[in-house]
Amino acid sequence: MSRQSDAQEILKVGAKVMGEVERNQQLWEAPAAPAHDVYTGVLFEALGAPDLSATALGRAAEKVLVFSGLFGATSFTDRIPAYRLSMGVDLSPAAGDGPGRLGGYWRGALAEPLRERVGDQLVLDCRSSGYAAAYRPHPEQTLVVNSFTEREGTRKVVTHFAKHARGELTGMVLRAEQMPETVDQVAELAAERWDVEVRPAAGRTPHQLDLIAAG
Amino acid sequence: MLIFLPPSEGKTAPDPDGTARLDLDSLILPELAEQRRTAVDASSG
Repeated sequence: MSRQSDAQEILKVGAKVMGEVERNQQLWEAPAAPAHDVYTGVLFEALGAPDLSATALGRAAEKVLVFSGLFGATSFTDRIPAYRLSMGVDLSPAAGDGPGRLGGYWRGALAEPLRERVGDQLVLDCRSSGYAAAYRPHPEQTLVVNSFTEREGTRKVVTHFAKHARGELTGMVLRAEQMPETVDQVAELAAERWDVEVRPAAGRTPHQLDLIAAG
Repeated sequence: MLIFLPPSEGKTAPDPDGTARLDLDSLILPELAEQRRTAVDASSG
């Protein structure tokens, strides 16, 4: 697909990043590095993987799953190449078989393996909606992280800051002396950095952890 | 507790000095290897 003339349209990217798309043509030959090194966005910068202790990195390898349009999900330390492909892409070929819409493709593939892996553990969910749709744990065992800036009593979501807050909270969890295991324990840890509000799960809506910073 | 993260698929950096190559059997949840192979082939083709 990345070699096709309409690759830019299929991948829903601007002309400026077509150089990155060309990386997709060498996925089998390109160097593969740990996912926490390959992903360089705001969330991962705020998480600060290069500064994690060996203990914290080991905890991350065991406890963190990074959802992905290309791989479904990887661990924090799985070795992957750099690539450009989002969960919102449709990889339906003009003819023949293919994954089709990646959201639905991975939703079907991930359901059973992740149900077994998650078990009855709490999931701290820092994903955006497109990736959250690929697998949803039971609402009662899911704590979704939201971030707001508040100014003069009005709250708003600023995407950059929301990503930063999720990365920062993940880093705090990984570095904690004892890893939190409950909603209350996560909220207590988060309260060291933000004003925090917890909204309990209700029906199909998971627990919500609202991190509030002054705007 | 597990932590679910999004990727930063708009921002990825290649490892300029790396020698390791993608090995689907080494990834977590190896039972997904075939689906991953399909996605990688479709994306790189």
